[in-house]
Amino acid sequence: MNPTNRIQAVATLVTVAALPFLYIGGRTDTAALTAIGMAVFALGMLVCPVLQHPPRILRRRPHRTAAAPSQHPARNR
Amino acid sequence: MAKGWHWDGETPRAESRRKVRDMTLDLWSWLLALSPLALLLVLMIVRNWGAAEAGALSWLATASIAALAFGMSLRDIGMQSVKGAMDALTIVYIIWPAILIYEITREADAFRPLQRGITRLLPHPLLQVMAFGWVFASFLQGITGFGVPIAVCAPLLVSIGVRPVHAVFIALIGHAWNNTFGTLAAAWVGLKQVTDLSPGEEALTALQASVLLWIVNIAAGLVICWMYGRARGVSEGLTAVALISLAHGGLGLVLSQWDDTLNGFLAALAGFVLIFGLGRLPMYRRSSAVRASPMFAGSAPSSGRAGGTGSGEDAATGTPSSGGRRAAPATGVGLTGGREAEASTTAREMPLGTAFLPYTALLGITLVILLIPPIERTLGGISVGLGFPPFTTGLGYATPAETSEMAVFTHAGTFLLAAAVVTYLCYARMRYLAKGAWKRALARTADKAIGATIAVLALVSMAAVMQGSGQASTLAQGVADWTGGVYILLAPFIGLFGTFITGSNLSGNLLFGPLQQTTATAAGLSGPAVLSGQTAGGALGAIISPSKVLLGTTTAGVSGREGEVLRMALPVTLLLTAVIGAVVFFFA
Repeated sequence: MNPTNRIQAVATLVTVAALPFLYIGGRTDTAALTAIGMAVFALGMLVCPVLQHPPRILRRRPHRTAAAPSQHPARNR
Repeated sequence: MAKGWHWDGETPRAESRRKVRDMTLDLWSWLLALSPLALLLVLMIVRNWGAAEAGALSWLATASIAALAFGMSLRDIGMQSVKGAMDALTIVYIIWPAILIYEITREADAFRPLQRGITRLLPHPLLQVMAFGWVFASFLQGITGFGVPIAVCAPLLVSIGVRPVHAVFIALIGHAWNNTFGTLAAAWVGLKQVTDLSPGEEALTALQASVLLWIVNIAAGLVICWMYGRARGVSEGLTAVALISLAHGGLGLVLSQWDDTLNGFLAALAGFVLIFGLGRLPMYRRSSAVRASPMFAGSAPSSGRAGGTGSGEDAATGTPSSGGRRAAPATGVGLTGGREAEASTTAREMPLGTAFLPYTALLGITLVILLIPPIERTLGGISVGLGFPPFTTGLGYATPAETSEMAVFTHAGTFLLAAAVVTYLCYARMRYLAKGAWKRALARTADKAIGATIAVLALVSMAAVMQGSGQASTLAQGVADWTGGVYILLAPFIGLFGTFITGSNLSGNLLFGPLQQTTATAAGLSGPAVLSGQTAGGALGAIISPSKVLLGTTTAGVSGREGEVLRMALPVTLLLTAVIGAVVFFFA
């Protein structure tokens, strides 16, 4: 299974795991269960967009090591 | 939304100010209700996001707007999301077995003999595309529906060399016309149930809807011809389009006045029989004049004994073929690796009937279960589901108690799963499957279906929240209120919107049928004309419904390219809906 599919599988499982909380919370009017369910459901929903198209703030900067010189010409002089 | 607060003794100036304020609030609500859909379309079409990612963000937007602007409680958003997930299960249950059938067929290397056999019977490449993408898709829609035609026909088109994105679009537009009277007229029966029509009005609505769907059918044939070879393609395919659409649309129209539950199936069956007769006409046994069809991968569509297209390229490899003689088409998402050589040996031995086994099994199982009433009654009585209590949003939009049910044994997914099992057992017995085939088929099925699963879950949950919060009704009501005299022109667009968000002509009719009838009565318009526009627009909505597009991209092996399909489908669908609106205007 490729990484994208793995992410989507995890997202699906997380989303499905939220359904009993939402349903039981809704049927029994238990706000705490509903809140947990909504949080888990939203988390599952957001896994795919956040990992596939991460916001700029979450994007990792290129990792620089001593062995790999910087791409910036000024720093390689 | 904020409509209706009015007190006695209001001065004309205050009334005028109130009207402006109400209109502003309504417009604001309408724009808010529209924004998740706009976000979905922008992400998919402009930003090229896959449906899994775009659908998830759109669900979040819908839920936030439902809570903040439409007064829906967290509990009700959660319950509607669960309801959406239950509805999504009915779609996901089609996707997995449909892909499994495809993977088993691929393991047995049955696509090659299938393509060879169809090439022999229908030498003209355009007829091959019509056979799978229009005629067979319509036939499947006549019986099973619920996305099965897309899931089955898109990979079949890819197997004869059609580009995957084109294949998905062709299957979508090819099956659309049969969305109302297909699936044993489920959408039509649903429309009759939720509206109040006299027998005479019912007959008139069925007649007018059949005329509109005939137009959709003709358009589908012409669009396929255009995609095949522009004007030259239309010229080559015109006879076939005229005759097939006469069988589909013309027969459907006549039968709509006789039996409005079987007409879609019988008309599609007539078309299916007819196309093999067309393959015997001299004009469709000659070589095609279209040299490099943009529809085909590589450039050379297959052409049986007619002798190829003369493009001189093998569509599978892009390498020159022998002197314009029969060029083997690409197998699309076909075989890879070392299995190819082994499989090609067995492929030569597999007859066409055996290669077509998965689909014969599917048709046999479906017909036996659905058309024999005692079996249908017994199996249809077994269902699983969840009950949902009634609720009212803070703005007063009420949703009655509902049960989300799935009749497991009469569901299209079960037919597909049974067909997959039968196919596997038969191919294994005939020794077309290598050792460990089931493991490979299952692994690849999971690989392909997982993205579609989360996407369908997100999209259907989003649609359920939109319906429960009143966003869907706000959108439709806004159009109805603000369009006045030209409402009738826009009635099909409301039908289109209903199918777009629910993924089903039946659900769209249940959702907006009563609204359309009420609006028609209030505006003094013809009820049958507006309702026929609703259901014809709903049939067209199936072309652009994200859940159906997903079915196609997943089974055609182009997951994540839903935006490309929508870019191709949207202009055609909107244009056709406008044409339907103009005809409805004429009816009224």
